[in-house]
Amino acid sequence: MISLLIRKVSLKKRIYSGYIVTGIVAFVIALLSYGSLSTLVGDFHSVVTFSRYVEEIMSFSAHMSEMQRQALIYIYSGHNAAGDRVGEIYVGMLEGIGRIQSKEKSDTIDSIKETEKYLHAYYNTFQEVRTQRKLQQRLVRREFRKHATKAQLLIEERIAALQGNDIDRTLQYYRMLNFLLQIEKNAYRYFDSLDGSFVHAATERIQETREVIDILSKQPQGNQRRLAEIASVLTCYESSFLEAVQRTRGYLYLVNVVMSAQVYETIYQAKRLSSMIAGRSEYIQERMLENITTIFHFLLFSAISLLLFIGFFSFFISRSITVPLNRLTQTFRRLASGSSEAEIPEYVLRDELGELTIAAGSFKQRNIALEESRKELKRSNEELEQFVYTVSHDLKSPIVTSMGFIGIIRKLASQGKYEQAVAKLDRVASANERMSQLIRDLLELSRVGRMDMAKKLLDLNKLLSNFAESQTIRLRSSGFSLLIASDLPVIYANESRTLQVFENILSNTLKYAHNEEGGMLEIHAAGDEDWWYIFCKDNGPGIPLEYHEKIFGLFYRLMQMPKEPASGWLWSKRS
Amino acid sequence: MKNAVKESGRSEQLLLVEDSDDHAELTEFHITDYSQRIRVNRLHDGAEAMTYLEQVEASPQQRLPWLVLLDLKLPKYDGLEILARIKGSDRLAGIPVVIFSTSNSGKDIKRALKNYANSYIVKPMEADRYGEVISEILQYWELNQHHLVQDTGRSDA
Repeated sequence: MISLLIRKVSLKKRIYSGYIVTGIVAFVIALLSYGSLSTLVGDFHSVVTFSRYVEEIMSFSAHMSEMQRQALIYIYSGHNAAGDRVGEIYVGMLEGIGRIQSKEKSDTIDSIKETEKYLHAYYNTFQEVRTQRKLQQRLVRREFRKHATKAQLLIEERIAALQGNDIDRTLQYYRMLNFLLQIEKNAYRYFDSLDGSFVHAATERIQETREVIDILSKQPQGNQRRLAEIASVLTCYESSFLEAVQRTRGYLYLVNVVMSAQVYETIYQAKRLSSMIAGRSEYIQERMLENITTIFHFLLFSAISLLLFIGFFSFFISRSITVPLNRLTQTFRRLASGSSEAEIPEYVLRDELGELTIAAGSFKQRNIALEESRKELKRSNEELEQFVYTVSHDLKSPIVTSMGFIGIIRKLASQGKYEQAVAKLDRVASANERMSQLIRDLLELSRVGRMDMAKKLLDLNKLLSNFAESQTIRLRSSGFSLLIASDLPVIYANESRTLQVFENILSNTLKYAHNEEGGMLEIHAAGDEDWWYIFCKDNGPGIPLEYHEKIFGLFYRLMQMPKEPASGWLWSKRS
Repeated sequence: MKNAVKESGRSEQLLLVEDSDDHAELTEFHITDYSQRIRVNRLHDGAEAMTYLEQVEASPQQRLPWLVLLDLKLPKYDGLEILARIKGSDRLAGIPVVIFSTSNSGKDIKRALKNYANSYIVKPMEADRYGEVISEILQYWELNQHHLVQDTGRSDA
């Protein structure tokens, strides 16, 4: 897959895709760790909530104690503010329970309900106690007081009736009055202190009062009816006192036994609840720790694998860049040294490296062209050298001839052989003539060399039929026939130089290709995929195979034939 | 001045390989002028020279040329090819070959000497020098005693 990526995707895209893939992997890792982390955060929230519950539940015991304390204050002192405080705490606790209950699950709900139930019971008991206490207060303040006053009035009436006549009986009545006071005092002391001994003292005083009544009623002069009345009031008084005591003991029981038990029960339930929640929070804490470890491991693993992946990826991408780049560098180095054979690495993509490869290709093309033109230059230099060499030889040769003959002429003249000497003058003249002919040919050659090189499409059929027409007289006079094929091609060439080629071939033929049956020049063409070949064939002696290369040299000839401008061969080859 | 050819009374054969008729006439004129005993065998081009050499090489009875005057620029085979042919042959290698050409190009001279040309003389372009040069060449080779050993077959005849 990577090799595919490297081969098919451009450089820029390759780098971008690397970034994108890395980004995606990092994002996936972040997403996965986000999931784990959010679980962790949830767990943490639970732990916080649990601890808040536990705190709240633990505060129950404190609240319960406070409630009980306030209840006791109320009971003993009768302060209504304390009683109201109990109610406030109760409401607060109920709210707390409600808060827990709204969020809690099944396993703790029983315990919570139990707690709530006991709290309810406690508060109901407290209400009962309040009612009892109110009743007791009313009893003490009204009934008890009323009977006490009534008994007192009766006794004081009796004392007033006696008018101090009967000292003994008056004294007895005063004793009763005193007892009554003591009973009342003891009773109030009991209600104040709730000390049982005062009740005992009060009942003893009542008994003593009864005894005094008995003593008085045994006296004959005693008013039996009045005494009976006092006795019945006393009985009422006693019963109301005892009832008040009874009620007091009742709510004391409620407070000290029932309510205390409920307090303990509530506290117990709260503790149970808190321990349950604590257990659960412990479980969650363990799970949290486990999660943290897992996440840590996961993150570590992801980070390492991401790092590896990025490393792997960047290695391949950089390799895919540096390898062709190095190859290109090698190529460019070789190209820079002028080599036209440097191998251009294969690189098909049209990316930055592709451009570079193309640049290397054109560099190579330029090197090839340069080498070609260097070769061309070398060839033309060699040709020029050859030309100069040949020209100098061919020019020197007539000079040598004419000078040589002048020498001979002088010699003959000095020997008195004037006729012979004069005869040799022709040789000098012909040598000079040949030289001037050569100079004319050279001028012609240089003119051709400077001729317009512009090429165009040439129909050889048309060109050669015109040519044949123009050469008719020349051909007829020398008895030559010119046969031109009718299926010659259209070529891309310079017209006048092409025409020059055929002219030279024809004039060479006319000069050399002598045949007893009459000379003939035949021109036809054949082509392959790349080239057209023009064949010129005469029926002369021909040129032996071994001289075929040589005849293309400048001024080369095989036969003795003075005055011959062989330059046509040069043009034949070069055109 | 006495010389070998004149003294011996025998005619010596000089091989002149020269395509230009004018130059050949000049050379022959001066050779004849120098000594009647030197017989000039003129060959017109490279091919003619090759044929002649092969024929001489093949027949051990035939006398070898005393001296070869060789032009460089020849039709068909050039002077260097002929030189190489002579110097490459066991029988012909002893024949002194004097290159006699219009060319004074260093390249030609070097190539000729590499092919064991015995001398390289440039055809003179001064009016009276041609005859002097020819006679000097002939004088020098007459002093040379190569003719005594180069052809064992001849001395027995």
